[in-house]
Amino acid sequence: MEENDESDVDIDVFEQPQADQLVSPNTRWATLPASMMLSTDEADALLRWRKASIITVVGERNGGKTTLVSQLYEQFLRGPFAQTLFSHSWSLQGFEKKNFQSRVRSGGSRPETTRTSVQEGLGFFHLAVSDEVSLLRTDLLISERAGETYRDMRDEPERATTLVEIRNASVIVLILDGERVSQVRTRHAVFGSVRSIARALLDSGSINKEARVQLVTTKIDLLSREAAEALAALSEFEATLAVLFRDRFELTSFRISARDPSGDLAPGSGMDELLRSWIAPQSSRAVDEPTIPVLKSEFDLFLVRGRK
Amino acid sequence: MNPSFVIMGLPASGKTTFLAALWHLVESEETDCRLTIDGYRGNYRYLNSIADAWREFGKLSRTSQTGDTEVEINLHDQITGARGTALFPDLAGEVFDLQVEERRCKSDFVMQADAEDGILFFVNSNVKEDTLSITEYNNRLPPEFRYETGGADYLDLDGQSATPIEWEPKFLPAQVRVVQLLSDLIRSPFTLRARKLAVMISAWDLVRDQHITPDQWLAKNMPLAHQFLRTNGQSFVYRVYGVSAQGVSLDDSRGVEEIGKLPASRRVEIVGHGDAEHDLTAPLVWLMSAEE
Repeated sequence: MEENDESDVDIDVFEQPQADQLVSPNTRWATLPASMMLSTDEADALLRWRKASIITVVGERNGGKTTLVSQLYEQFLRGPFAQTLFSHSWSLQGFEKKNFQSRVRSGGSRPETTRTSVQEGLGFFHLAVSDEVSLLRTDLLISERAGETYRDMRDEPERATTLVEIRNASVIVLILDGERVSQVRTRHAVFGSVRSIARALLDSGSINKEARVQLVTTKIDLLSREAAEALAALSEFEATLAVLFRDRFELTSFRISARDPSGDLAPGSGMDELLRSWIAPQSSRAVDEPTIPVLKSEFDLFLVRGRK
Repeated sequence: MNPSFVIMGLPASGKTTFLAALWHLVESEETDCRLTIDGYRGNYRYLNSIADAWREFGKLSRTSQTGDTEVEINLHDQITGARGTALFPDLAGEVFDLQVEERRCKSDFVMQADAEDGILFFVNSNVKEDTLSITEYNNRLPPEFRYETGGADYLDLDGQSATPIEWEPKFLPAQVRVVQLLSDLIRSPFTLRARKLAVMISAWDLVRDQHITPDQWLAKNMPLAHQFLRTNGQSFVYRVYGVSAQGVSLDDSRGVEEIGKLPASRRVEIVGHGDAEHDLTAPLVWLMSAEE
């Protein structure tokens, strides 16, 4: 569908030449930075350049982790989103690769998201957005790791301490698969999975004290069509999990539908609020009050006298 | 005044047609242009060949077929009186495709981009729906044709069952390519500095009936690029122009006959920022000015 009536525009048009016909063999080339998902080293390089919040998305496979992030990017292809504007990305082609199977161009008839394999290890998407009014920019590094790794963490909670994206997270996003919540047979299993991942994170002490924790229920479009008892069960689980985190971290719950295949819910439903929460300034809740040393020396006392 | 410009744009975005029309305008002096030719000296073989084709409504040789060319035009600013030589490297659009897809560019281009006094970035107004999602497509179909009704997961263009297509960089949508090219300019090996950028929406005659400004066109048709430019003011001071350098579809015989009766310079139209209707030099004047 890309190759059509190019001849009806007032431009230079001919058949496409082969790329290797364009340049002489003596041409000197400069290498440009890759544009795929960032490795840990590349994420470090970005953090040396500018401050970025690390958003760690945790959940078992097929829960919708990658679809959430991919759809976030997809929203900006259609215009401003959540009162923010797209500002920059070091991983443009990484987003594109993950999104391709949801596009008509892929030849698919059902939207899919390219799955993340265990072998890919830890990667990051980079997305910088600016407030639509103030243009104040926030950089996000959103983690991407296969769900199998987090499954293993459930079984061996100590593994949580080895996951760098957990230790350095500004926000931990626990993914709850709404499709499994919608079905009676799988509902309690998925609740159990998220609960034990949460316990592993909490009891291993791997979450940094300033991090915020969020429970994000995906595929809410499927839940909306089910009986009210599914939604009631979800509300109850959200409350239970909040109790688990009580006194240690404030847990916020979100319900989203990244990509409703039926089209009943708009793409990115509920994700605007989620994105706003990611770029909101860190709360002061977890900041320890510094201990003021006892002032004893004559030099220290200058300060005290000055105040008097 | 010895400005050097960089001309960027994907294949078939109107870069060479602009140069041909610009050369005709400044050389013929048929219409009021702020910049005019300042002495006819130098090597004009390439400019004359593309301008001849343009005057005759012929199709211009693609830069990819003629090879990359550096064009110099001696210009005189009629208002300030300044004189100088403007340099326009005319690179094939396919080179910019290579830059996006293979993540490499010519070392010469890095040097030119570091020395430039302004960038002319061409975008073809004839955009495709290359980011259309399957869900969006389905919702345009009558219910009986939507995928919920069954059928294969992957279909070819004739609706037959097919194997899924694996992603490759060649599938990158146009607006993503534009953002990638601009993003490259704010990372090594390019020098990080403020640049002036004139976004030239070519074939403006095709969208004239939409009654929107070039800036509104960019926001509507390439939202990612528009947002990128709005939020990167430290790196890019930009203006968006609509340019119709040919004035008519070359396949429209009647239209060509009609417009051919006018002086060739009258075919040219530039829209945006209150400049004279036929003055293609207006973006160059703005790029060279201190005005933001």
